[in-house]
Amino acid sequence: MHFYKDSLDLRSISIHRKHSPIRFSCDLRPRVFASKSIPNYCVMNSELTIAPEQLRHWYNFPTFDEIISFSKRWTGIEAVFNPIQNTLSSTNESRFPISPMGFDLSQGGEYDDEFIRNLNRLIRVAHCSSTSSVSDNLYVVIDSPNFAMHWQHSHEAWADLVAFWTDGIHPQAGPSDRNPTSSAAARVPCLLVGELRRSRDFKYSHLAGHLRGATERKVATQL
Amino acid sequence: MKANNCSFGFDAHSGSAFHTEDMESQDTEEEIPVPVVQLYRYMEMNHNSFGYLMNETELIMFRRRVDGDRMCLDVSPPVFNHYSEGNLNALMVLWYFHVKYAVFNDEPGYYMPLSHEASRSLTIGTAQ
Repeated sequence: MHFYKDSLDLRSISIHRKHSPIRFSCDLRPRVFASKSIPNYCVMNSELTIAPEQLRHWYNFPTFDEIISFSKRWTGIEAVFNPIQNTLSSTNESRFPISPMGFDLSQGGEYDDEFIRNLNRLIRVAHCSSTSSVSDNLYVVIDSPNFAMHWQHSHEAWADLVAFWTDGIHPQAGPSDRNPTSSAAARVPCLLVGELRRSRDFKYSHLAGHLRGATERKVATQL
Repeated sequence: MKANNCSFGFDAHSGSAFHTEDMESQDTEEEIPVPVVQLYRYMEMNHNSFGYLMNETELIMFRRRVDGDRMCLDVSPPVFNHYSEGNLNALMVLWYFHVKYAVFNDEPGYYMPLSHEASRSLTIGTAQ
């Protein structure tokens, strides 16, 4: 398996340097566009909101054991997530030395994308033994939306990270929909979306009050 | 901190649209942090089931789902970035969700249609 060094990683690095897609905006207030010529998704981005009572605890969130069990489908993945256990139970070192385990925002506000590169490598491994329905060399990657998505032409702020299918050169609409050009970028679905924030801007404790209220509402309903 | 000063919501029970400004005057609860509202918008725009917020120390996963007649947003416990034996860390959680739902599209899959509230909000917003 050759997944450590590929064209995608190199291209991603160059894109990051050029456009700095990973940003930590100080102005978190969404912009509202007044022009009628703005596409629908721009209007929707500014108008959508969520009420406090719509926030809930995720009670059946996957556990450590569940994820470890899932990772055992692929040789070596478990050793990345559970390295101490692996060292104790095996004489072999992990095939995928991974570090760090998260973003490093400590260096002057610049974030180290080594975490994302590691994550992309591990996701790429999962394709190696996947079903035959996945075309050769098509895989899911996490990258900046500026790279591939049709939102790149939007004036609206967009998420920091998105996951999408690619062949390493062009974004693809799906695992069985190979397109040799980038003209199909508008059809490329965003699979998962992620935001990066400094802890002073957002952390879990900022939601604690809302989630406590959600729990109280649930108990009251059950009573 | 206010999420949005001028937006519309939809009351699924009464079927009427209302300004969130009106709701603010009645709602005494603290408002939802802007990054969460922003992520929710991204998830709605892309029809995503899952999304995440991450900072220097922790990862928080979010899941859109329908509860009864309205959309809700499940919030995971905080997952710390650093390795701790026997505990979840950000790398393994993100890998799990991307492989399980993005690569293999297991149930419920990465795709979730636009919520009823979002559809309504979009219609109202576009008409302005």
